[in-house]
Amino acid sequence: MACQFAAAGYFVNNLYELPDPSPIIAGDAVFRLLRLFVVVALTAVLASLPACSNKSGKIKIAVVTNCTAEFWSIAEAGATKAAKEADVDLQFRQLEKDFDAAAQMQIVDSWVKQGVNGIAVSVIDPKNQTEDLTRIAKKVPLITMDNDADQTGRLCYIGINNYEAGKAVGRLVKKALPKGGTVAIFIGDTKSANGTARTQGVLDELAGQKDATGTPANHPVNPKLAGKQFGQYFLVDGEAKQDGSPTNASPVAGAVLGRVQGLPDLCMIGLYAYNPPAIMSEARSRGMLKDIKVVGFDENWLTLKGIADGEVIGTVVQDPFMYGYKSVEALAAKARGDDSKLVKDPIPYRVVTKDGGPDETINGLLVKFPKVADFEAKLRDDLKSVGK
Amino acid sequence: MTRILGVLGLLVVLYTALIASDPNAGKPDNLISVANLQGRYGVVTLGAALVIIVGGIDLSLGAVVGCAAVLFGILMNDGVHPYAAVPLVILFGALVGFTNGLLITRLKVQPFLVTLCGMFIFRGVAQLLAQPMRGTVGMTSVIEAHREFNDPLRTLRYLLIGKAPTDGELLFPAQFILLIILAGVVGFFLHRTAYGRYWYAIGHSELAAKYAGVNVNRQRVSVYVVCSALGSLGGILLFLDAPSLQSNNAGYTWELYAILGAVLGGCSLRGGEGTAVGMVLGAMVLPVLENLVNFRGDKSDVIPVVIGLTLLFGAIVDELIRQRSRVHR
Amino acid sequence: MTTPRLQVTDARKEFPGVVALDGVSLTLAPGEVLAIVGENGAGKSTLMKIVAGVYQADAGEVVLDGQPAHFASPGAAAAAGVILIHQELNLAENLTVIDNLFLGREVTVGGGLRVLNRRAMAERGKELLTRVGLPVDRAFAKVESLPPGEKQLVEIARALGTDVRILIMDEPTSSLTQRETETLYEVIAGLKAANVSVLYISHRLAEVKQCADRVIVLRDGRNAGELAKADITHDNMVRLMVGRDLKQFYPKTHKTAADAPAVLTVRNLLYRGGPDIPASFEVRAGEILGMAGLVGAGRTELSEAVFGVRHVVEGEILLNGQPLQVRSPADAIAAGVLLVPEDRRLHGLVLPQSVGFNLSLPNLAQISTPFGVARAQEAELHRTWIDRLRVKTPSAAQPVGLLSGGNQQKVVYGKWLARGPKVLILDEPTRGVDVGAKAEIYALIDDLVGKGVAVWMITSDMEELLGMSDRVVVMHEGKVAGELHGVLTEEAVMRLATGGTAT
Repeated sequence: MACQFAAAGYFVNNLYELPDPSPIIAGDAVFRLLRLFVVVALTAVLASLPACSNKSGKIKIAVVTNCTAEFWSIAEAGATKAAKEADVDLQFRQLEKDFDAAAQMQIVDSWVKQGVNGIAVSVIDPKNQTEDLTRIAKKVPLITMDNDADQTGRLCYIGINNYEAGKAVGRLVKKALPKGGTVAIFIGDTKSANGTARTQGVLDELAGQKDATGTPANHPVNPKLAGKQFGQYFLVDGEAKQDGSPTNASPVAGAVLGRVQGLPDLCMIGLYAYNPPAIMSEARSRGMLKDIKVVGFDENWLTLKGIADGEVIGTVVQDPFMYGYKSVEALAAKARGDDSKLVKDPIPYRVVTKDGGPDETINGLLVKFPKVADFEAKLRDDLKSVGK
Repeated sequence: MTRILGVLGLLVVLYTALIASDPNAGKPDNLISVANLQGRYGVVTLGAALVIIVGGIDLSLGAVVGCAAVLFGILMNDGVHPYAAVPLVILFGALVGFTNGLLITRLKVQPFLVTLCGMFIFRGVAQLLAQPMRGTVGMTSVIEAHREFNDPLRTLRYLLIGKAPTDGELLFPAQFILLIILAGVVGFFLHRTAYGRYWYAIGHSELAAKYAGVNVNRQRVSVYVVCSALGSLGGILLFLDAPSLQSNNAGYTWELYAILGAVLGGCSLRGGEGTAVGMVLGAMVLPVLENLVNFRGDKSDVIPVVIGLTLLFGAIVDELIRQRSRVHR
Repeated sequence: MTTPRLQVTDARKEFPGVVALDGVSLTLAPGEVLAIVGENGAGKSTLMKIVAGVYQADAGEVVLDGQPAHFASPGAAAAAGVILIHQELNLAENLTVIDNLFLGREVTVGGGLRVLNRRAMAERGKELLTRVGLPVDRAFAKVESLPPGEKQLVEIARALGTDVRILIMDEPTSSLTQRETETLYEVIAGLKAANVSVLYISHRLAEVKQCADRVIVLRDGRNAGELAKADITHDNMVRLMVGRDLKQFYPKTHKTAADAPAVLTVRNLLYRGGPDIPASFEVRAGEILGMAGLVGAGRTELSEAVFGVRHVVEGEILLNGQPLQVRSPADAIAAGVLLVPEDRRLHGLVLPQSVGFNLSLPNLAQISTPFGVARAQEAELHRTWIDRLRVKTPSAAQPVGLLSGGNQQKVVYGKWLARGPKVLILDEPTRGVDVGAKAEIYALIDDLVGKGVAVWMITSDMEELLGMSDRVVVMHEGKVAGELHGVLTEEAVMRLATGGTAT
């Protein structure tokens, strides 16, 4: 690096003496400079190359997410652990252009060209990505995780059963408001497979029936408020509120809170990791935090803190660490010709509350009910291992 | 000539680094996929660069790209045949440019302001348009809704993107070829016709052009029309190439990529400078860089820094070369 | 009598707060060269701009060859053969000379595509350049690389390339060398012969005398008089322009002591981009050192080196005998060496900003407090210098770009005088300044010198040089060619300036 700066200094010195309109013919000076520039720049770029040594001949596994988030850092911790255990190279890419399917496919394509031995993808738009992923699955072992695209010929899907997890959320709501009440659901994306399934799970649990659609109704206390009735529960606007991105989550939550302010028996449900903190901060700024129940999803730090402080009833968490771990483990084994590590069953969700509870088997899944303090401690340990 | 030496050098360095980064990086199919992205960025860069040459700026370009892409999908979803939707979307772009141009020339609102507002407006329009589709448009969804569009859409994609009608494999860099054709046309107008002279003259000194009897307003409006029309073409390409698009982020910050390409390619933001060849070269930089970081396997958190520093380094050296050459002219 | 080429009757034009033209009339015969003189602000430029379609008259008639002609734009006027060569150059400097010659009326083929026919333009363009005395190899040079004089000639060549009926020249010689001026006279004579009418605006009355068939004089937006060919004399023109006689045009009341000490000494100075021969000279207290030379002799460059704009390579600059390190203009200014630059619009003033802004700019340190600029002190500064220099401006808040050239120049002086200069470098101190303001500026310079300021005056105006200087240094091709004392004559100056030796 030092030589680069010295060279830059050379340029600057010359620059300083610029006001110099003398008509010296100096095309060759320009070319000399260009040559120098090429050399300097080449050294600069090439000098930083060894950082990415992939010439070790090791098996190489690549994982791409659907956005950049803490959730994925936990997954990265799991993936890193598995990579170390299986002795493979790992490229874990958190998509910096959040939910941009085109950007995601570009990255996957370049991995295919690079000749990686296995790819795991958190699919953004299953329907529209199917064609590309099908083509890719023919060339490289492909598994989907977190969000599935089941028509692609991927080897397996690693994730929770979002519908069942949604039902667990519904049970938390019922426990918080046993006599019914007014609920609102917030989610980043209503049409993604996980979003749809999660929301339906919540609603089915509240309505107490399968494929509940609810009955259109006006709010019993404030008739101006339209929505749908699911059993004893009134869902504001009759559908989950979509915000599209973390930056938009607070305004969306705030708008709904403003409309329901003053109503009794309120429960706000946040189904994406960033939703519960957005709900809490908006409720706090409106002085409503004491008047509402919050049920969350995923393990945002603020959500966990909210649980510890009693501001959040509980949160249903996936197992991102396991997603990362299992993805890499399965792909590494597959690359060595071993299909036994492919995952066939959903990863169990877990329900985090302040006081926790004993394990239960629900619909054939062994569900854990960890205490928030224990859960958080474990999480910090996992994250430490990836050095973030 | 000296104006493009810098960007040429930068490209040489980037390609060298790319090829050195991985034995597979230099293989034709990877270079084709890079070229394809270069083509799409380039089409939009041409538009931005023309506006910059006449001394303006178009910040609405990225939103227009996104809006056009969404519009293209929505039109077809509503049953408009793909072959009819293409000219309609380009017409939409031209109208946007026309409006921008009129606001800038007749009402004398600053281009920065007009197009900054356009950036918000057309992003919003894209989101409103896509609302029935819950914010996402994609080729597969269109085909699902209208089976009869399957063949024309796949043909269109083959022609404009170069992806196989069957499985979407990228066969040849059609977007780059398109870019070369369009750059040829832009270059022809810029360097061989009276219009180009007017654009350079207006960019350097609007008054000089006016005193020479040039209808400055008409020229500027037409440049904005061309710019936004190229932007909407970029939107069509984006739609055809991408698996699916989110109305809130399709084409996001592309106006900056386009401006970057134009400036790297030798356009001065003060106006009155720039060549068609430079625009193409300038637009080629970012995709190589993006491909390079993909191949290097950089961590997500490092990537923006790597891209930013590389561009900055390139820009500084480029500027130094330019200043040296100016002194010794 | 034949139909006049142009007849303007009772033209009136009002700008917010100012009546620029208050019923001006003129006639112009085919093939006539009519000079229009008057102080700046007399309405000459406004009148010309109305004729050329830049402005539209509020009232009055403009008749071209018997047809009413009210042009909506310069383009429309140009189409009718009325071409204005503007005082501020209007060339697209990023394009080549050829491109500029044909800008707006390119020779094209291919119909609406308008593909350039470069060969035709090159041929025709070279012919035009020859007509204005420019070497044909300039055709493909970028305009920005040409010296100002050549740019002016390119503008004239551009006008010649059209079907011109009336050519309006606003201060065409302000940046021309003597030889180029001669060429211009020839061009004008050629135009006359081709029955083209010329409207000629100039502050250089000697030129007017030489080339005009008739002179009309404007004062305060009205006709002030007219002079037939035989009556065109310097005195007659000045009397009509100012409405009185100018007695002491070049006042020169100061007396320089014979043994006055040198304030600024330049010793063996070499600067980057300059000639290989070192320059030496000195400017004494209470004297005006005139520096003469042809355009391009390196006078401006030398002053820029002393002022810190150009990098000094060798030699030294002494101020009152003490070595002065000048690395940037800030050093020079701090030491009291101040430059009134040649191009005030580019280097002297921040044009879009107000008179007050410009006056304050180099003096902000003096009027600043820890809480920002002291408003009262600043207002006082503005009042003082606007009054003392008699700057004609509605207020200190007026954008300086809207003032006349002479008043702009006074603002440049004002911002420096407020600092109390030791050495004042004047580069073309009265370029583009009208007669009345010139006299005021001369009086001002004389007053400063009388107070002991050393003035180094670079000028291409021979009358000014001979009228004001106590001593003259002549530059030739970048080096000091000689020094003249005592009785200064034009011949002696020109001999040195053209490479001869002092006798």
